[in-house]
Amino acid sequence: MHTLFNLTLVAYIIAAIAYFTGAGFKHEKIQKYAFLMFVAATIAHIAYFIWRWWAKMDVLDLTFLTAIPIRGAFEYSMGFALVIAIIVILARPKMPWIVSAGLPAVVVMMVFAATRNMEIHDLMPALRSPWLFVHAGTGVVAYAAFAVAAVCGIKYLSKLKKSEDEESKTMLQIDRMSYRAIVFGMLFFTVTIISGSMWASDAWSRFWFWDPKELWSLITWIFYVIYLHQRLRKNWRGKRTAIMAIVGVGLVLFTWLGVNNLLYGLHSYS
Amino acid sequence: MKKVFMFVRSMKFGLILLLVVIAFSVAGSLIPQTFEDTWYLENYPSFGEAILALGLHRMFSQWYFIVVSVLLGASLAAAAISRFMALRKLLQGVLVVPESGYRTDELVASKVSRLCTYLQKKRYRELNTGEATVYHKNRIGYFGSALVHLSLLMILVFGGLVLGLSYYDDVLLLPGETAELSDGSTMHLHSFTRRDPITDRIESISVITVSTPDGRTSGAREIRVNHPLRFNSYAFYQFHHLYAGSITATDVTTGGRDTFYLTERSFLSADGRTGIWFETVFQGWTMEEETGRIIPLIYDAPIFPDPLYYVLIMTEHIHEHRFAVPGTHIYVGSLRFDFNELINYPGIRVSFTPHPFPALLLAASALLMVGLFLSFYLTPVIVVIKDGHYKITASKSSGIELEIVAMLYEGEDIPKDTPDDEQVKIPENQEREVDI
Repeated sequence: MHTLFNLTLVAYIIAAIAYFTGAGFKHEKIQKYAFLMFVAATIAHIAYFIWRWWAKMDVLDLTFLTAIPIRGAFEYSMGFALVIAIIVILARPKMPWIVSAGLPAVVVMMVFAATRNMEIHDLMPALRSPWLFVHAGTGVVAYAAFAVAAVCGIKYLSKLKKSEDEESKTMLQIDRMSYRAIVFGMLFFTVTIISGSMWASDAWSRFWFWDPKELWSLITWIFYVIYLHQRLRKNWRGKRTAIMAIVGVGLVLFTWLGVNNLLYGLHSYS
Repeated sequence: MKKVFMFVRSMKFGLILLLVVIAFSVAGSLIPQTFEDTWYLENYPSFGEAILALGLHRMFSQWYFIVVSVLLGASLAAAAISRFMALRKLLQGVLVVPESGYRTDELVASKVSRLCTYLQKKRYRELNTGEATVYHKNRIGYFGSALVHLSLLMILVFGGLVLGLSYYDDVLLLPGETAELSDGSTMHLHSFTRRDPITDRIESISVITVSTPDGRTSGAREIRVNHPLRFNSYAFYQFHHLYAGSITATDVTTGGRDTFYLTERSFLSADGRTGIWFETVFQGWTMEEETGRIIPLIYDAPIFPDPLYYVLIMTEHIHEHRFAVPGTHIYVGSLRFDFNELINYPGIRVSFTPHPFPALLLAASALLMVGLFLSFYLTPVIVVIKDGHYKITASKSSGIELEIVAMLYEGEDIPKDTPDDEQVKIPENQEREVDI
């Protein structure tokens, strides 16, 4: 069944190459077909995700909630890519430019996933909890939303470099999409932190341990709080918030991967 | 006093404090917390002493972090108070309608009609003041920011109380043993297993009973990871497991026998003179091919793949160290000592958290989610149409003004006369209150 994952990855890569080739030659039809291929790849991706979920329930005899395939680097990055792909497809009718921003992010996450161990492993007892679904599930959605905000930020800055008017409809749309993605991500990320502390209270005896993962999650959360304050109260927009969105995803990636690999803590297994 | 309040509630002060918290968090993640003092001296030879002197190894319970937390609490309290004060009029059913700051692009009658239809379609509430028509929506959204600040203050206070007032202790018990807690309650361990009997998965499971001095009891309850027993402000967690040696001593003359679980150096004897000293159990062993000597092995991980007992045989004439593997036995005088397979025993964490702070912490978390939702997704909007001009009062980030202007000028050039920030700020004497 890993063949389906590999086929999905190849389909995403071909869709990306075709899309940017079409964009380069200003050939809308190629771009249209590339997008259709992207949609097909996403459907295959969903199928693989569901299969993996079912397989974990079946093979490992896990409950529905604990079998969610977002445990470990492979599953997490695959889930991360899937959420980005779904956001891109849903937002595309109103914001066609989002495909060129989101597609590379999906490909990068899928390629990263492909370099990780794909095998299905049993969960250690501490992870066999319904909190896994809430904590890791909301986490992957939040991270994907922050990634979408960042790619919007990159798109904004690249268009700005090409001297596009900051008040143009597209630029305002990109800026607003970035903000909306961060707002959406913040809601989910807050649930991630709250549910994580509840889970820690059940599994490890305390709500908060000042563990590196907790601390970097707090840092990321505070960073986005600062973003929202500057945006809502000081009316920061455009270039400044685009840069903040990009820096934010850097913090997200460090919280996710950097902490696990560089710092020792209670989340070392994740 | 007012100046102090204004400073404490200012966003600049709040943001500075958040940046300080970020700095502490970065440092706290780079310097592992709450290890033994010697660990820092060994691992950071050049600045280990500085870490200890500054208390950076227990940074989040140091006075300087507590001061920052208190200031952050004050900032959140001031922000919440000022936001609730601003909501007083709204709570009294009053809507503040601006008297100036209207867009300069005058609407023709058809556009006024289109705007009204659009707002009605979007389910705005309509209010006619005589001079102006007011449309408003999502008044509840005004509470969002106040609730967010209040709930964060609650999380800070209750979280601080939970962390400060709660404590825990790790108790090691062998099956059949009872431990007494600080308030006189007791915890009895009935059994411990390393395998779930239903799923056959490896998992530590203890069965315990907790009794209070006044006679209340939890009954025999199973605890395992993610499933603690909460009883009388205590929570009992299956935390880890350890190994104990197991030796059965049989008196061959009387036939009497007893099994001992051993975790530390102990002397097993019938008369106090003849018997064996249990020294330890090694995790593994290997044999030197040439000499046939047994070499005990110690691993970093808490595993015992090939356990090896190490004992001292003691009689009147003999003092001799011996190795023994499980399944073998030794005779010492009239006693036979059988070396059994190791047994597991649990480390149970007993945590005390005073009521009702955990529940209040959860309530504050729920309130935070409500506040964030109101702030982000129920943005309050007021649209006033007056003398062919209109004014939209809404957060710019909501994009509602853009939507409305785009709708009004669909297919046309949008006049570049959107009020700037100065115009949006309505002086107090240019506002009028309308009952709603």
